[in-house]
Amino acid sequence: MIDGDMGATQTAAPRREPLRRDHAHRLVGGVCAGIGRHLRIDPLIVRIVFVAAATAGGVGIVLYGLAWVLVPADDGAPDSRAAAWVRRLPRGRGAIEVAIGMGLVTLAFLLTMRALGIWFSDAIVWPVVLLAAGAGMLWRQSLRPTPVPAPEQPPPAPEEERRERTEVLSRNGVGATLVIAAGLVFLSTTHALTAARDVVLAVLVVAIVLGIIFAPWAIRLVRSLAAEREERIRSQARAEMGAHLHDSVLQTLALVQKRADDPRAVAALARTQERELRAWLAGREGDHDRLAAALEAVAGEVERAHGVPVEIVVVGDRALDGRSEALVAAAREAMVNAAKFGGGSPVDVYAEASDDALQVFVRDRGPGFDPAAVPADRRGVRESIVGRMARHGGRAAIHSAPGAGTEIELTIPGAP
Amino acid sequence: MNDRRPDLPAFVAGFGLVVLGAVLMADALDAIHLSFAAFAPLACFLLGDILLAAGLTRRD
Repeated sequence: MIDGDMGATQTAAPRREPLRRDHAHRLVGGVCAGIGRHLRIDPLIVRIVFVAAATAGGVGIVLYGLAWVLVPADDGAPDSRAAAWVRRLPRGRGAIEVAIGMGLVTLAFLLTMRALGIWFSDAIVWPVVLLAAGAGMLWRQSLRPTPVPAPEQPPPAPEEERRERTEVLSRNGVGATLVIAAGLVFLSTTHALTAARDVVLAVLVVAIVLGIIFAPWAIRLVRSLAAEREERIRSQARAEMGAHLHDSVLQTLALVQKRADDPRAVAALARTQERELRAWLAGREGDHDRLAAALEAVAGEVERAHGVPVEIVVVGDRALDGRSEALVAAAREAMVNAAKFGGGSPVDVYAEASDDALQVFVRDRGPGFDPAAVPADRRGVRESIVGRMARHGGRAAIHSAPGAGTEIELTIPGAP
Repeated sequence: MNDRRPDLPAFVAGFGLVVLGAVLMADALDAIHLSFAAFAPLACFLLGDILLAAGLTRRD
């Protein structure tokens, strides 16, 4: 019973509050109130300690400021703008820790030198400490390894990338500011700031005077440089066009003159040249990973190989993938068949790439044939066209009849 | 076998505190006379080393 009573009257020791700035009972930043709540003492005692420390060379003010920045506010309380900014500055606190650490180690070294009597002047203490802190922050930033994303890892979002860049710039900016502040403090403590200010003022005045005098010449120089650059670009474009005309059109014209007695060869040369020139004007030359360019290349190849004109019209375009490559291969086979069995009639190719489907029509005006009468051992149409399209989720339809020409319709449905 | 790497900031802090304790003990035993001019750089060095170790090992 006694044990039971004791057990009933015993209470667990109250859990200590985590160290947070007490925003509700704050006088300035809630640091003293938070520490008092954490240590379960009257915040007034903490405030007295901080005020006493503040009168001892300002140490209390520095400590209070650090605590304001580093100790988070209690739940729901907004951070001060400065605290929120500094908290965001390094993701983690590595840069600030290194900066303060470098400053403190440097300060320890200087104090030791001073205590040992190896000393130059008190004027260098704070500049050197600030310099070490700024250099530490800058060096840590520059030595930080650049994260290499894994191959399967998606690239960072633009917002994330922008935020990372802003944070890096902020850290470098803080480091550079500390170094500049070190220089200014040193100049100020050695009374050299006045002289430096005079020098800066003199340089500024001279720069303004020189700017006023030489501005017209400078503007004219910039304009003439811009005009010269434009002329150089125009000249390069003219030279490039001349070289292309020489390599293509003039060479083709020379071949046409040589083969003037063969009208089919001349027509094929002219058509090939026309196709190349159109591709060049449309900026598709060398763009072989696109559907339109691939179909035009195939048409030119069939035309050269069989001496039959192949007229091609392509509406729309898209990048080649496995399905569209199969479509191009099937279209090539259809063009070859039309050139071989079309009785020498021109081959018309119409291709359309829309959001719904890829379609290619290959037509000739030859004697035509009965698709049902094609022998089973003729694998060109069955395998290279119909079978290939079926394997890639498409279809091929053959419209032909004896004496009515042939049209092969190739379709790959669905979005790209 | 435990292959965990030691926590460098904790190691530095612990080692520094051991040194500080030894110095304070020597002062208490009148083996040395510890003045503020000697204690201040020691404290700064200890705190600075801990912060440096923490900052350099932190992965931001």
